[in-house]
Amino acid sequence: MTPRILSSAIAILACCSVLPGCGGARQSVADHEVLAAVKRYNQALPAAYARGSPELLQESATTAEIQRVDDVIGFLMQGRMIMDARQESFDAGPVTHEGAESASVETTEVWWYRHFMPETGEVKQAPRRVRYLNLFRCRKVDGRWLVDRLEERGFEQLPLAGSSL
Amino acid sequence: MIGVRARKALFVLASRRFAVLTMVTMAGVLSLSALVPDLDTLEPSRVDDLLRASPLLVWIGRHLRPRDIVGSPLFLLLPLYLCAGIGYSLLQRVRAERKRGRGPSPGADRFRTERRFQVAAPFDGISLERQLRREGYEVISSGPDHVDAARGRRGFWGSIAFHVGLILILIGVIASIWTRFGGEVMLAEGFRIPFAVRSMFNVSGKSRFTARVPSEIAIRDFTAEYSPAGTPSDYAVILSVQRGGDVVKEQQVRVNQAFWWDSYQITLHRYGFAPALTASGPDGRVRLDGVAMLQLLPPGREDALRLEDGSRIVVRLYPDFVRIRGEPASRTLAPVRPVLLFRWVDEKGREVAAGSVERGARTAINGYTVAFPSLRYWGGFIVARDLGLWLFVVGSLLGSIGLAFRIVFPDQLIRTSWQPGGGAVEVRIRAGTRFFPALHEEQLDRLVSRVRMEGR
Repeated sequence: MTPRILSSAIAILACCSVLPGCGGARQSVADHEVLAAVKRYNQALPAAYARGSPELLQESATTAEIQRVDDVIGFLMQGRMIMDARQESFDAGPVTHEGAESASVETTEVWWYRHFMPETGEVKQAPRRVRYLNLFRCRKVDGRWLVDRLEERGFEQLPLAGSSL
Repeated sequence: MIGVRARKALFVLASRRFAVLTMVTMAGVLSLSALVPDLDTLEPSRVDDLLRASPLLVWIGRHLRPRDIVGSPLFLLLPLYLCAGIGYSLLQRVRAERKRGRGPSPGADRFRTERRFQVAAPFDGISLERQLRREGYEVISSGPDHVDAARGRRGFWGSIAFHVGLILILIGVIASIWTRFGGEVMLAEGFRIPFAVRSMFNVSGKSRFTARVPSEIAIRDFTAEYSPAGTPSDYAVILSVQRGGDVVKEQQVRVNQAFWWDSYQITLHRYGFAPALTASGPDGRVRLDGVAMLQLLPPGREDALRLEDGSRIVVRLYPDFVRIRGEPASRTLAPVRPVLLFRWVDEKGREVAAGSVERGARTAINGYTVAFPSLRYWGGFIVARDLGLWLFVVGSLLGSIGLAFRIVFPDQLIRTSWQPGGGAVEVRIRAGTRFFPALHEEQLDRLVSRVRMEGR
């Protein structure tokens, strides 16, 4: 086999091995369910803070976690403030299953947020951009995965200049 | 007289030219049927759009009806004829190859070349034989004054594999014509529908849908990922098949990752939002209680929901609601702050209420109440089956490997002879190859120089 034919064969084989990767890896159903709960939670959280309505998390969090968010909202309400928050990025690590009805997943998230008074529009806390290292503890309730506890494992303040907002 | 005519007809049918003509005709009709949409399955508005964009396609679709031609028994005769022709030719070639045994392939004499050179005596041809074996030649005859060798037998079997691949592709064409089915099904999270042709639209090959076991399909846990700019970058969902309420198969489905069920390939093709809505009039009677499947792009696109009393609610969904210069807009496509703008239009076309409602809220205008308790996703799935596809894949692979073998191992023949002289022996090499004459000459020159080096 001449070197030209050999190199062409290697190039074709390399293409064949790369192309199936375009579809991305398929997750197990259990992992997908846990991550779906976390993503639902993260999508509902800004509206819950903005409207002062923790019940918006009912489809994604347990009563305990809803209570925790309610406490934060209560604290903001005392100062007549609401939180304007947006998630800029989300990366999840592997899902760890602890039995059939309990799982956890570590995430790295970048959030932009500020506190302001809706009545006057006065900004009480200037916009901040923070990278959080979070641990989501999830639990299966009535056949559905919900976020049971969000543990903040670390954070890093980021410059606002890189914000997409 | 009839015998002569039949023989002539057989001669034409067995000719390579006729087979090529048949193959070109078949490829042409198949291409047309793939390019021209089935007008019978399209909605009249889409046919009108197509007529404006490409009148020629519509004319071909209406008058030549390539899809009907492809499905006709007469068309099936073409691949069958080609299969029979190629099969017969293969049989003849394999027989001839077995008969030939170790003898040279007739094709190896296509490009001929010759070399003469002298080596020091004594020359017994052993070094030449060794060099030929090193080059992959098989010695077919040798004596005190000659060595004949040939190579490329693997190329012959490569050619056979290529033609077997071609037969598989042709059988694939027939299988494809008999089994090809396509349709689209739309599923909202939390609902299950029968996996049957009545649940689908844009169906082609309706009569070819055969579900072995009645089942239902459903989706749940739809997730979409968004880029920092808010545009969707990936989406995934759990698709499950249920029978009598029991899940028999479930799997994550993502872009480019198909779900297989009952020989049907189900792929996620598009998605949108499905807000749960309830609406009641001034009399308190509930006019609407269900889930609406709305198009995602562009945000704020109007969709009308018809109510049983003839009135309708025109809705616009903004998944990440924001007001820009007083006008409603969506900052991103992520459902961060979903707001539904609605107009209630009565049966006479008068707007009786207009307002907005956020997810989890209820709005009452002029006694007309609209509630938006939750937001789900819906997914549009392409359901397709083509049993000929696997034969295409296997046939194409086999054909490609066969062709590669044919090219990499061409039939080549080397006949060498020598006459002992005084102080030197004159060696004559006559060589032939089926393909790549220049490359073969290069290889021959290398062989000559090695034999001369050893003979020194």
